[in-house]
This record gives sequence, C-alpha cells and structure tokens, in this order.
Amino acid sequence: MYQYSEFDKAFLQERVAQYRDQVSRRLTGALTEDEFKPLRLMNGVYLQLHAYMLRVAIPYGTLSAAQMRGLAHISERWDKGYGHFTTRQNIQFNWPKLVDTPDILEALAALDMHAIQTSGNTIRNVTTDQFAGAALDEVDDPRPYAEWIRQWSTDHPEFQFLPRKFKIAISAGQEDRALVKAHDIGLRLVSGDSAPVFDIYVGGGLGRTPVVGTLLFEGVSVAELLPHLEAILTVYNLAGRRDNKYKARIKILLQNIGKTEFIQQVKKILPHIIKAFDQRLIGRLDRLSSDFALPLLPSRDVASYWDAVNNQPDFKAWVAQNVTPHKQEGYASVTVSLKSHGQAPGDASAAQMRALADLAERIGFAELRVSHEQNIVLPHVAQSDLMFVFDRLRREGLATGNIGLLSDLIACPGMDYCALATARSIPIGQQIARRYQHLERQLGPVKIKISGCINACGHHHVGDIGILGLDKAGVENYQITLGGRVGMDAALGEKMGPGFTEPELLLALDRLFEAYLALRLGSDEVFSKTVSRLGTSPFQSALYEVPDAA
Amino acid sequence: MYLDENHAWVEALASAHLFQSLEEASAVAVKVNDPAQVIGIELVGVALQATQTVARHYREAIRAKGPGDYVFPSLTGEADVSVQ
Repeated sequence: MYQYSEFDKAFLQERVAQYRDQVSRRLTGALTEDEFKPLRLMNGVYLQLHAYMLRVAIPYGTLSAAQMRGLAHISERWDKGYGHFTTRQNIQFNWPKLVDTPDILEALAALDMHAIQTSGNTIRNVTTDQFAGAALDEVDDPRPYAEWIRQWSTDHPEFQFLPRKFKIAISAGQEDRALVKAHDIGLRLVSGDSAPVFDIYVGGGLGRTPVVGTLLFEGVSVAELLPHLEAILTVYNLAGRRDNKYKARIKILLQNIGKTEFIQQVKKILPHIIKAFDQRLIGRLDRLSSDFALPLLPSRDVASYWDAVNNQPDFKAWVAQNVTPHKQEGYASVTVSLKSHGQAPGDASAAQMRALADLAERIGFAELRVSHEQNIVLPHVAQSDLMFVFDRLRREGLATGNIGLLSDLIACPGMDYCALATARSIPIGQQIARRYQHLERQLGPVKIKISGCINACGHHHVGDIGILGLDKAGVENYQITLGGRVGMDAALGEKMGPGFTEPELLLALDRLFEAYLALRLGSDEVFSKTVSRLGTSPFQSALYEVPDAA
Repeated sequence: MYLDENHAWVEALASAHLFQSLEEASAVAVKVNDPAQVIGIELVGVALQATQTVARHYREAIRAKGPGDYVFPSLTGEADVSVQ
C-alpha cells in the first residue's frame, strides 16, 4: 500500500487545523451556514436528513487492517457504532456531531486517511477493481495508476471548482469490475505493443441523465495519461455549463459539442500540456509500483481445503459464491458479504470492522478492499486458510454466501438518511432479500440495484432489475427498469412503465421471477440472458399482469 | 429540531408548536431564523391523529422518527449462516 510521506502528513495536519478553526467559528456564530457550507463540504461533511454525515475517502477501495480498525474506533467514539460502505468504495458515518468532526478528521489523519474531495465539484475518489493486484485476468495492477491519479488530482489548483463533480474509475481486467463506462472518465488498462496502454472513455455517468461512456482516446501511453486527463478536464472546466447544475456534467458537454469537436479541443491543448507537464510527477509512478507489489505468498498445502470442500456443504456453498480465483495458485480472494438477509446493504458494525481487521492481519496480509457493490474483500487468502476464515466470519454474522445472488443487492441510503432522496431504499432492499431468501439459489445471479431518487447512487440504471424510488403525490412509488448491465457492454435498463407502491412492488417482483423461471431455457440461463434473448416485453407483461398474447 | 410554543428548539415533534395559519408560521419562521445558529427552516404539514401530532408527508415522518431500526445480526445473536 502507499505510505504517506512527511509532506502528506503535514498537509493533512494543516487541513485539520484549518477546519477546526472553521468549525469553531461556525459554532460561535461567526460564520453563517451559507458561509460555512462550502468549507465543510471541502472536508466531506454533508448535512443529511437527521444529522451531519461524514464521507471518508478510501482510495481505490484499499484499506489496511489498521485503517479498518481505526474506522471501527471512530464509529464507536463519535458515531453510533457502525459505518456505511458506499458504491464508490468510500465509508460514510451518518451521525457525527459537528463539534466532533475536527477530532474525527484528526483521527483519520493519524490513519493516513482523510475526507478531502469526497464532496464538491472536484475530482472525487478514484475507484477500481476490488480484486486489483490479485485478479487472474488483469493486464497490470491498476492501483499504482489510481494512486498516481489521486496524487495528481488531490488539491489540484485548477480543478477545485469544476462545473460539477467528477468521477474517475480504472479497470485492468478482461472483465470490467469498476464500471468504467459509468464514470466521467473511465480508464481501461489494456495490453499495448510493449507495455500496457490506456483506453479512455469519457462522459459516462448515471444520475438523472444516464449515459454510457464513449471511447475517445485509444492506446494512450502511460507517460501521456496524466496530460490527457489534464487536457480533458481543462476542456470541461472551460466549456462545461455552470448555469444549470443538472446540465453541468461532462457527459452533457460531450453530447452538446459532439465527440469530434471534443477530441479536437483536447488535441489542440494536449501538446502544450505535455510540454509543460511536471516530469517529476511522471517519474513518480515507478516508485508507486513498488508500494503495491504483491506480498510474498508462500506455497501452502491445499489438502485440508479440498477435504473441507468435499465434506462440508455449508463451506462448499460459501466458497462457490464468495471466493474468487487468485493469480497465484493456492490462493483466493474472499468477498465478505455485508448483505446478510435483512441487513442494510453496506453497513458494518464496529465489531464487524474489527473482526475483519483481525482476520486480515492474521491470514490476509493486513489488507482489505471495499467493492463498489458494498462488500469487503480479503484479496490474498491461502486456500488452506479459507475454512478458518469461514468459521470466523460465521461468528460475526458475515458468512452469508450470497455474492452475485439476488440479496447481494445495492441500495443507496435513501430517505432513511439522505436529504435528496424521494423514497426509501434500504427497507425495500431488506424486504426483497428476505422475501426471496428461499428462492435465490434457484433464481441464480440477479443484480438488483435500488436508488431512492433520480441521482441514482444505487446505480439502478445498470441493474438487471433497477428500482427507482420516487415521491408520487406524497406516496413512495417505485419504478422498475430491466435489462441494464455493467461491464464493457454496459447498457442502461429500459423503464417498464408506471411505478408501484411498496406492497405492489413486491407482488410485481413475484410475477417477474415467476415469469423468468417459466421462460428460461434452463437453470444455467441467468436472468440477464433470458431478458436479452426474449427482450423485456414478456417481463413487462408479467409485471403489469397483462396476459401473454401468445 | 422543532420550534415549541416558547420559540425554543426541541427534538420531539410532539412538543412542537402547531400553527393554525401559514401566514403566522411563515412570520415566526422569519423571526427565529438567526443565521448564526440556524441552518434552515422548513414548514412541515402535520395532522392530529387522536392526540398525536403526525407529519402529513412520509419524509417528515421519517425525519421525526429517524431511520428504520436496522440492527446488526451479530449484535442480536442472529448470525446469518444461510448458505444453502
């Protein structure tokens, strides 16, 4: 992992001191809320429905065991004993008191963590594949590049007041596990002639105007990556709309001026940027690569692992669902589900966070990851330790073997917490997980994504089944989309029709799943394949109880 | 926080002062809106059910009651080991 330098540490200390003074002035009334708001947002402090919320950056979703333990401590000392892991690989604390937030930021700084640029119209946390560095199918570990971009973008003087927030993701696997086409800039690391190169997708994003990103630059060398990012952001910074925040994202600019013109504008300034670019920053990547070297993974006997797989059905089922092959033989990556049936997706108690930190220290090289699907990953686990891991997770209520299944759903905080939400998400997710618990293995992989408003933090546009909660004349109302998907063939779901009230929604889903089980060609045809093969029409009929014309 | 009849800020909706007219409520809202202390003021529509004051809109009901009671299985001894 990247270790903070003395410069980094001093920078954070200064920011904490500055923020402490700002909070003090707010509490004495010297600053009004209007004056204070931009200052707190620069430090990740939002105001939600019930309380302030602090969003803490977890760069590219990578945490050390010590950092996870520190987050547990923060949740107990200054919050309500839990944290919420988000779809952008961050963690949110929902109940901090304003007066305590400087102390929290100081505690974070001691962990080499912060909340800078987790809000505001800046470049947000760079996200990546939760299996980075361990994935069998990756061209290279994307994390050094993500850290490189983090260092370049943090406190970048030109990009602190962009027209709107800006999100970057990097993926380096054959399979895109970082949603690169749903980001303002999505970077895909691919094999080049002699070294990995980047394909750069621009203008993706969900929200109220969902757009799949467009490939604008292909085969960009590592040396020219940051200049390309700077050029793209400069064009956006100059030409992006600032008069209407709903039309301010880069996707709207790209749509308005067109791909050709956008590329032309970038290419016009790119040579100047390359020429003037700080070569020290380019050279820093080499040092970063060593920070992310794969730990030494000693060879281990796997006989006990196979014995357990063959003799313990619970363990076998958990392995089948939650364990991913590793690039090194004899090792695996474990996805720890934060979605036990009925739990708020992505929430972890302090005890659970500590248990995960202990486990990571004991068998996982002290490293953890947060996935955009709101789970925790132990990236490097010897197969011979998997039974031990399973037992420990069981004790903490973390051994739910549901990764990729229906109950492994994404839900934004929704109206239970969020000031922007128009409906609740969490109870809908809970009810769905409980209702179909007995059926989910029969249904197989289904991605359900729930958002509590059109800002789409729950990624509903790209779910096999997307659920969008709205306020219809004072009643929560849920619209369904079908056929969305993530990956390099990402697609936006198709809206099925009028929304449902909460009780109607569950009955509609009953009919939807009944139709799927009847229409699929066999148990190996997953939900998304059946929808692709038949189109959404028969499922739409099922949702709205329209008799099948056939 | 809700405004009570003495213009003090209280946590329970049940303790809030109920205005009978929008005009009166708006006038008081302007009066108590001290920018040094107050983040923002919204008027909330309520109804009386028996003797209980309840918010008319579900958003305000959630604001008044707090989020759902989402407990952790590990804290209640209901560890989820369902992997079948």
